[in-house]
Amino acid sequence: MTLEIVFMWVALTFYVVATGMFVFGVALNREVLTRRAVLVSALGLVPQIVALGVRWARLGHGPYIGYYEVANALTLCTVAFFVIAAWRNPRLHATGIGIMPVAVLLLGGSMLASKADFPITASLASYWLFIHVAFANVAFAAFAASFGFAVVFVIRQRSTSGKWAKRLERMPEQEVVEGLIARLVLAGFLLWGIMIATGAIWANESWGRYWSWDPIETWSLIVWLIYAIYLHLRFMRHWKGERLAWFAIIAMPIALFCLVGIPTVFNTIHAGYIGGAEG
Amino acid sequence: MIGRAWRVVVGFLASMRTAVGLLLFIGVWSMVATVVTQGADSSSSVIAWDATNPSFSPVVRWLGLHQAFTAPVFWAAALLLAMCTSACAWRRAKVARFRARALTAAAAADPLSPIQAPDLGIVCDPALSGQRALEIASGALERLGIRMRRRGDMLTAVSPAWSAWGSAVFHWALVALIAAVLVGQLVRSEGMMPVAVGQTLADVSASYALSNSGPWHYGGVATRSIRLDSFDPDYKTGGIDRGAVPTISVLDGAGEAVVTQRIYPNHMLHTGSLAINAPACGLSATLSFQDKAGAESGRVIRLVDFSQTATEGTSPIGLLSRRDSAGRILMKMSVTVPLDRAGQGFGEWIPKRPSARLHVTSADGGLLFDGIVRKGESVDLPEGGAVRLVDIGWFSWLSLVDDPTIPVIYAVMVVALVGLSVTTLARQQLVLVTATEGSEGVRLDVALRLWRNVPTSRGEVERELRRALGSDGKGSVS
Ligand code: HEM
Repeated sequence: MTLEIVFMWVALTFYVVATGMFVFGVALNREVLTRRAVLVSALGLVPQIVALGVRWARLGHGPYIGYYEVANALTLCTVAFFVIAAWRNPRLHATGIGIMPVAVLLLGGSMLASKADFPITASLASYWLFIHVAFANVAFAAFAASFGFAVVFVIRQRSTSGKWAKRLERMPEQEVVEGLIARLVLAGFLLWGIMIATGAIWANESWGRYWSWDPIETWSLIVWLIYAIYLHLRFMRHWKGERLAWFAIIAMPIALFCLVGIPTVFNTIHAGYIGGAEG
Repeated sequence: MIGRAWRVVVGFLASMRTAVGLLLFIGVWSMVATVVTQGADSSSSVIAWDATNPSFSPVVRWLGLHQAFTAPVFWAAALLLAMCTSACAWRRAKVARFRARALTAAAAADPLSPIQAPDLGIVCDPALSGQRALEIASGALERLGIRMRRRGDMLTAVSPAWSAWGSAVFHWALVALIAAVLVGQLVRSEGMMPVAVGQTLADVSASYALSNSGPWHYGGVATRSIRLDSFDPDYKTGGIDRGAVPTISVLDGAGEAVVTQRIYPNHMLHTGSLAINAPACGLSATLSFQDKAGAESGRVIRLVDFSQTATEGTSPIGLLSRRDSAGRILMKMSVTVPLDRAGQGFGEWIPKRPSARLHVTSADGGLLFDGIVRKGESVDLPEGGAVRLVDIGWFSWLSLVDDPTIPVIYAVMVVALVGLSVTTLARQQLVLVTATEGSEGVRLDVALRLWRNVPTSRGEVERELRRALGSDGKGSVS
């Protein structure tokens, strides 16, 4: 096992432990545990960054190609996004209970996938690749955070006996959490929009057309439209409460499917970034 | 009557149901389109899809889902969405103007006068002075994430007026984007042009093997031509193998090169609204025809595509017809280039001993000649005269796109994203707080508009202020 893989397993272990701490911290109403869980999540970032850095130095390109690299980068951004949010607003610690399982599943999935090295091909060799992928990653991190917040929102809302509501009482009021979910969706929507726009510019530079209804282009538009519907329901129809939170919960896996599922399921010219073939 | 009809139409377009319905329709339509094979109804892949999905195929064909993104239904929905978005953008602009005015007025509010029509009126603990009440309120709001500034006897937190415009700008930019894309479809032209090394072709439709122009395309720059200067079958730069790379010049009417450039992935040639890409390459065979007296009567360049499934590794692009002076076809000739074997298949390069296979038939299809001619050699033609293979070289498939709307589309995308950034990042808040000392004690008046991106809510602000000022359960004008 190479140093990179060892570090990656260490990072995964941190994330699994952090997830456990969030679950127990919230279930046993032990704030100190959830607080430490944020720290453990942050500590997990260190070996993951080292591992990805080592790989980057060895291959000469960032984590953009192949399922292993793509899922890894998505995990890194998701955890980093959450840690920053929880550090800036300690009342949000408990949302780790919804976000960290996503990170564990993604990184766990990538550890089971092929870790083969893929070189940068001529069609990927562009600075647009970095910009485009970076925005996709951060957009996903925002959507994953909105998912985690929505999960916590629904748990509290459904706590008819009040037990879970009590356990999560340090969180801001439900109304505020709702506002935060909408802000995260809006942020993700903006970043996803930039991802689509930079992708279109790159496609035009690379293939001579900015949009060709390739499955991955189509699905990223679909994800954008789904979140646009969310925003309209929230800001125009003033939808509130559980049904809107469910919307955020269901939308995130669709975004994830778009990022890692489409290139494996469909025949797309973008398959290169997941399969490592000529992209 | 007309006024009423107009209001109904605008009401329908600006309705939330219509907007969400259209977004949903376009989303679902696109999803379905990714699982239905796309292409012309007569294409083999579409026929194969229909055969494997007999129960869906009639509906799919009827809806036009095989050409989902050019289908009239789809464009109608996109157009309706654009109209709907304009109606909404109009309303957004009204809201933005209203909010911007309120923000400007609040920013200029007289700090010495009491707030008119406050949203909250909080009667404080009688032990508090006005100044103390303001200090406590400032601390309480800060804890909720609203940083207050002191202006005379007033606390203020007022966003700049531009913060109100994000949503309107974004929606208008979306309208412009859809319009630009639509206009782009009408004015753009694109096509595939095969050019051999050394060859210069005018940018006119006859030079294209495949082309597609919108009805409003200006017809191409007839005076412009494209030349393939040289070809590197294995070009490397920056430590990356760029593949087969042609060097292309675009010439003006006087034959002067306007631009000369190597073309490879992520390194297209751009000049004006024209963009040239080189997605594929093949081989060219230069043939010289000689008359019965042995003098050269003409030269032609025939092109072949690489094809691992063809018998000798290449397939011809088109047929060459030789005619007599009355225009009658004398013979038809197809040219292929037998490739060197490489492993199980063929090596996609110029063979070590360059040659061409000539397959000659009469006008009615009877075989007249089928044989190989090596570089520098000639064979006699059945009609008399001979043909000589001068050389085997490279040719490049060039993809030319002439679309003047692209810079507009980029600009509009940037404007949309700037508008969306403002909507996402800029707060839209208006908070003014004053303390008035009256007979029943200090009363805190609050003008409170938390429109967007504020980390708290009106309810939370009210509760927190009441708690901090010791006035839980006391009068409010909210
Ligand atoms: C291409 C389609 C559209 C997209 C992608 C889109 C996207 C968005 C986004 C991201 C927001 C949230 C940010 C904001 O508040 O501005 C939003 C809000 C809004 N949209 Fe749209 N929109 C589209 C079309 C429409 C249409 C057709 C309507 C009108 C029926 C509309 C009306 C509104 C309104 C009223 C808001 C609320 C704005 C506010 O509360 O400040 N949008 N839209």
